[in-house]
Amino acid sequence: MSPSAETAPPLLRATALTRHFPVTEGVLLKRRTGAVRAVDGIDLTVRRAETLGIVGESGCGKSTLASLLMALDRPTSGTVTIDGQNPFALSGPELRALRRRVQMVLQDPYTSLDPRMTAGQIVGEPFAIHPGAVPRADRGRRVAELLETVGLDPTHRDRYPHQFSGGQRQRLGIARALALEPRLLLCDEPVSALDVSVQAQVLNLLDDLRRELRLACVLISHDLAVVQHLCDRIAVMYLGKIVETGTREQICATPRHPYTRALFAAAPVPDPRRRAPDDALLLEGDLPSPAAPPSGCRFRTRCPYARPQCLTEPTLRLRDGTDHPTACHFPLESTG
Amino acid sequence: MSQAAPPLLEVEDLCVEFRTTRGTIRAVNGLSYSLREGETLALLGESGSGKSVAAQAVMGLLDTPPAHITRGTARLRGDDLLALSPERHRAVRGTRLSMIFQDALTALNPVLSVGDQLAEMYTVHRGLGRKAALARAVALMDRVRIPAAARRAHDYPHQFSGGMRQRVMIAMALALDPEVVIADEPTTALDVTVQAQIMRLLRQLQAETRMGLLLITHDLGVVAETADRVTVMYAGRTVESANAEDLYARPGHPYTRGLLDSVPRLDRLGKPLVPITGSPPPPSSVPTGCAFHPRCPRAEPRCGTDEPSFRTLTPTGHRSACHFAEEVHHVPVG
Ligand SMILES: Nc1ncnc2c1ncn2[C@@H]1O[C@H](COP(=O)(O)OP(=O)(O)OP(=O)(O)O)[C@@H](O)[C@H]1O
Ligand SMILES: Nc1ncnc2c1ncn2[C@@H]1O[C@H](COP(=O)(O)OP(=O)(O)OP(=O)(O)O)[C@@H](O)[C@H]1O
Ligand code: SF4
Ligand code: SF4
Ligand SMILES: [Mg+2]
Ligand SMILES: [Mg+2]
Repeated sequence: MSPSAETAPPLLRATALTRHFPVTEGVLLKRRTGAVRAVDGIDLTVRRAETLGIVGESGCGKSTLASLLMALDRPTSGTVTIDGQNPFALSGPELRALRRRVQMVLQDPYTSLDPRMTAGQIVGEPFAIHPGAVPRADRGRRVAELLETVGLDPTHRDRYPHQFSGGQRQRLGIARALALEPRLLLCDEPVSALDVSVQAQVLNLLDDLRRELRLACVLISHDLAVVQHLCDRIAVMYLGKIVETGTREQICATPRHPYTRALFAAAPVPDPRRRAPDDALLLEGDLPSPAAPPSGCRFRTRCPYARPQCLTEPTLRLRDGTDHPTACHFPLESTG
Repeated sequence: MSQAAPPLLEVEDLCVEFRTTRGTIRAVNGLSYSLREGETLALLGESGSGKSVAAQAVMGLLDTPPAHITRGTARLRGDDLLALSPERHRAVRGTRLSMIFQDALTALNPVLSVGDQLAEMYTVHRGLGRKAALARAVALMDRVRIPAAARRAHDYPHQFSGGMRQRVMIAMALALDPEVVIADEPTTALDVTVQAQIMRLLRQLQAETRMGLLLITHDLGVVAETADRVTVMYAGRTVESANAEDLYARPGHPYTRGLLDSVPRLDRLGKPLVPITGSPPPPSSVPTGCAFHPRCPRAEPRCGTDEPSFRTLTPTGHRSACHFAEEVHHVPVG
């Protein structure tokens, strides 16, 4: 990494980020009775041209975190900075200029595109919102370029979303996200709605784009194999918190948090000769509700290594700077 | 291997059409498989390949019209299920043949406690009194490892977590000791840590009961962890079938090979993915000849016109429907 990249502020930074959704009771007079702590104290950074994977099971807060990072939703507390600037302190043209730098690709290629717009209109839509980005006369050519970049035929620009397959629709969504030449692309479950045989097309496209355009990426997925395949660094989430971050090699070869290790143990490997023995240790139970997270360490109700201290003492928030931070009182040493 | 157990469930050349005002859709078009006692057979295929329709045909759950079974047989220990009257078919369902669905919340009755639902199986089918039936229900919940079964029997489906609800549905399917259980994407809606629990439970129950398990899934990992044998479907047809180790080590069909090359794997860090081009065809416009030919890297002109036969490649019963099956099978997966 060049020295300037080291010293420049990270492209994206979250500090002590929380988002709590109020839980109310009563129909007419809503009474606030608690909170879903969907995101509950998250620190992370994304550097230039880096791919960060965020992995965790359903309901752990991944999509809520994504909206906060994209400044589409306001945090309950904590801060987000994009290129060193706080989006919530900006408005008007300044905010628009900042937003251009971070774009998002949504999970569902069936509902995230307007069925009445053509492919060309969908991909060119950002130019209408940011008229200064590309001169009007060049927009047609730019849309054609974008379609080509994502592997679509530019002559199909007048087709409607239903005339494309799921994988092609996901490409349209990616082309639209690239229109304003963002520095960072955030993809929330970009392939989980696609057929198995089509997923690799989109994963390879994302991989090529980030290399060729030197794009930073945040890739959110419940699938450890997808995240491992594409990402330089990985953050593992459980119940609104990041429990471990590290390089791909650190997370895959020497996971230190018991939850990370459990995720690896549970992920089925497509090779019958490598079947896990039926007495291998598995996690018990389901995820607790984020409206009533366990005291102490949130993972303690399912952790095979829990000790009395885990019941009462919260695990520390992850901080940047350490090499391989883990939110566990008794981190595991090496893979057994 | 000539003395292998006779097949428990043998489906041959099954064809199912939907006749609608907008035309005829051939959802299943020549599916064959056989399942033996104590065996897990995976039916592997992508979305829309006809897996669920084929299972519903065997279970007798298709509405006719619009569905029409136009060809084929499905023999359960020799009795052709497809020739049964709807009443006889219903009698087989639940007792000799049962099904586990993906979404337990819609498959269970929301206004009946879980214990009562399970007990009903024993009062209706086994003529037990209410109390004895409830005791059996609790024992069954215990058997699928639902903690505090006696207490939880009074709870309603929505009071259970996703994983526990799936256990309830498994209990329901096993209540009357069926010979065959069909599990249609039983863990697709679950988290991976819960999926691992449920798949282990299914394997354990199968070892106890010797039931035949037909596991329907699109997940190559789940198949590899659980199945003894695999039948691969593409566009309503059988394209390959083999025991699981052979299929993964030396697939005999370019589609299966393509699937294996395109999934990211935790055990192969950094290995590039080789995608299959294009996407699966909708059943309204399945290509002529070999249905896979527009996407196949090995295709030759005849693939667009001649439909390949489903033929046997090895003495262990590895079969493939590809004109070049022998050559494809010859190359191990790298
Ligand atoms: N607008 C909202 N109001 C109340 N609760 C919410 C809201 N949005 C999300 N939640 C809750 O916050 C938690 C985290 O949800 P989120 O969608 O971020 O999870 P996720 O990790 O993206 O899950 P999935 O993998 O299923 O997409 C969940 O318990 C969810 O029910
Ligand atoms: N009632 C129906 N009327 C018309 N077409 C139908 C009907 N039910 C299913 N089909 C069609 O039959 C084809 C096979 O569907 P099926 O549900 O068996 O697929 P599947 O392999 O189970 O897919 P998935 O993995 O998505 O569950 C699909 O193209 C579907 O649209
Ligand atoms: S802090 Fe305790 S309960 Fe939490 S992960 Fe570590 S060992 Fe397990
Ligand atoms: S028959 Fe031809 S098109 Fe079909 S799988 Fe074989 S080589 Fe490919
Ligand atoms: Mg989400
Ligand atoms: Mg289905």
